[in-house]
Amino acid sequence: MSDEAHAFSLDLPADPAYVATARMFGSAIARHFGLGEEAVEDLKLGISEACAVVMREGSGGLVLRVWEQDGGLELEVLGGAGMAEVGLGGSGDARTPQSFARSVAGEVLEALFDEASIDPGTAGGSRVAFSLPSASPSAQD
Amino acid sequence: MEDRPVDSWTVLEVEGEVDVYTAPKLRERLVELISGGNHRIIVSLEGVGFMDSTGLGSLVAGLKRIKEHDGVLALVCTREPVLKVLSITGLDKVFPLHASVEEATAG
Repeated sequence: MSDEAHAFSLDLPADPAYVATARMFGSAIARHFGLGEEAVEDLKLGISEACAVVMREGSGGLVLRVWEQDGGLELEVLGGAGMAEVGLGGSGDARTPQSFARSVAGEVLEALFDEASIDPGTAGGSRVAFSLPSASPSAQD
Repeated sequence: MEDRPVDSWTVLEVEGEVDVYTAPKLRERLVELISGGNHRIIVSLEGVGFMDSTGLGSLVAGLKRIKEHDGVLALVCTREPVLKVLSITGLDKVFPLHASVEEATAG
């Protein structure tokens, strides 16, 4: 397991009830790859924010993918439909609940991870991605 | 979620995980309490193992509503994962934050 071709993947309905399942899935994989508990907590928060963003922007299902990359982990959440904005903070009307929520989620993701992005997905939905380097001190706990 | 009176305060004990699924329940409970005349509320997050920004959104909604009544919404939290998301968003400076219910009611 060393690249995106060997990603772990979880398909979920776009139902908020399943976001906890996505966190558990990501946590188990992170522990499998030896990440420490602090990093696991960051990952759980990242997955939760990503799922919430994707669900707000569409009604389709979502996919969580996790793979090892250069000793760290790469994560992406794909799904949703009807996405109209690009950028972590959202470039649309900041007064709408959706764009406000997205901006807070983006703020959290940017604070937690060096590389985090919210972009249009290839299938017309949205894609939230971030990475955890394995060399972080928390990964050695 | 259970609430109880402590002195002039209403203490709302929140447990479990607060995310996009459960945050609306927190928001609804806060709205109920405030609408019911409880304008000095302490939300204890000591039983919360996980909270994301949707949970923070519920707390902010409660804060906004309670301020319309010149009320106070304080938080009790010592759990690191929850403190971290409060800190990232700067909300640790917005809410009165305490280490215990006793400390909150004394303040």
